[in-house]
Amino acid sequence: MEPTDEDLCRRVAGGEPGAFDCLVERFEKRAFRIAWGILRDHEAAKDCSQEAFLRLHEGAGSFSGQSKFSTWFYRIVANVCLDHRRRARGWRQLLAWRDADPGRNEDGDLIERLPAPAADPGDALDAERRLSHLWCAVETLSPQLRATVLLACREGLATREIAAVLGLSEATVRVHLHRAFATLRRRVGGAS
Amino acid sequence: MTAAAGHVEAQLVSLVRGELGLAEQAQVERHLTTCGECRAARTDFERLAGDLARLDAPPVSWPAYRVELREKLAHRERAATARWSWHIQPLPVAMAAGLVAMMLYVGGASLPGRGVGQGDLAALENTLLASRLELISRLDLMQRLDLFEDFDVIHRLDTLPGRGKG
Repeated sequence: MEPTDEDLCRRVAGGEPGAFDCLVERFEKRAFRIAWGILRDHEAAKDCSQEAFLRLHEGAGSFSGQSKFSTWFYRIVANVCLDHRRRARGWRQLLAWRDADPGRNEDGDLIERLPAPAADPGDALDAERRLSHLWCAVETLSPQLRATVLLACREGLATREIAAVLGLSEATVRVHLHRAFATLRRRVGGAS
Repeated sequence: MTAAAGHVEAQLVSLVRGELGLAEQAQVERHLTTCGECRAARTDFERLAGDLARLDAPPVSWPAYRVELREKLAHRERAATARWSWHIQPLPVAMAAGLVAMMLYVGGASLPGRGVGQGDLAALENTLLASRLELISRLDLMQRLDLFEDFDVIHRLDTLPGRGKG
């Protein structure tokens, strides 16, 4: 019988050889996908997802088992990625590589100022191009909105789980999801 | 689309995700039967949710990923070990130093040759003094050498060339 994720985590905490590798194989794709969804940078996503695994290895003993292992681990991944974003943004601002914009914030004010597509692209684009266009639109979301929407749709997490992963209230997650969907609909265009 | 207008857009994402309670779901669906605008929004949200579920990250070489992760883990463990040994290193060093100091103190006090060492030094000093005895025996003469030189100069004052002439 396959050990559960929670069992494997306990075995990692107990120093059992092979348990960590097993968890890595189970979660590497999801960890990388979440990291890439938040960071949109291949190298950074690889580094951050690996850092999350290292933290899992170091802190497996602190997993209490009150939540699902996946929720606990996704939270580590999201925290590492959001910290990385904050640090990177701090350095960029410090080095003035990018103009500091006081109107920009985590809730995506930038999105609100982006121009709507000139024409309804949904009519002209095939499925692949539509996905590509959707990725571009997802990219304009703030990291937290992006994380929320990808955890919801790509990873299939319930609102309660997303709230636990991102350390937000369920109401905030619902607001984030609504804002993200409304923004993406506006950017990508309607189906009709 | 505002709540005042009776639209239900804010609940549509939850509806699409199947997260509305039964009563709320019935209420929203009742509204959808009469509101084309909200129906269109629901259709778009459903399509978006489906497309978002298909979004995938770029391909990764997973064996290389695991090798790199293993290396990072080994490096982290080495660093942790080094940090730990750095923390505990002063203790054995201090203990060893204390032990050596104690051995020197205890052992040095009881060394039989300690007096002989001092005697050797004294003998060496005596030998040096003896080698200089000849000079010391002519100390008067040595002290007066400067005086003799002065006498010689005084004696030859008349024959010495003047400062101005030369």
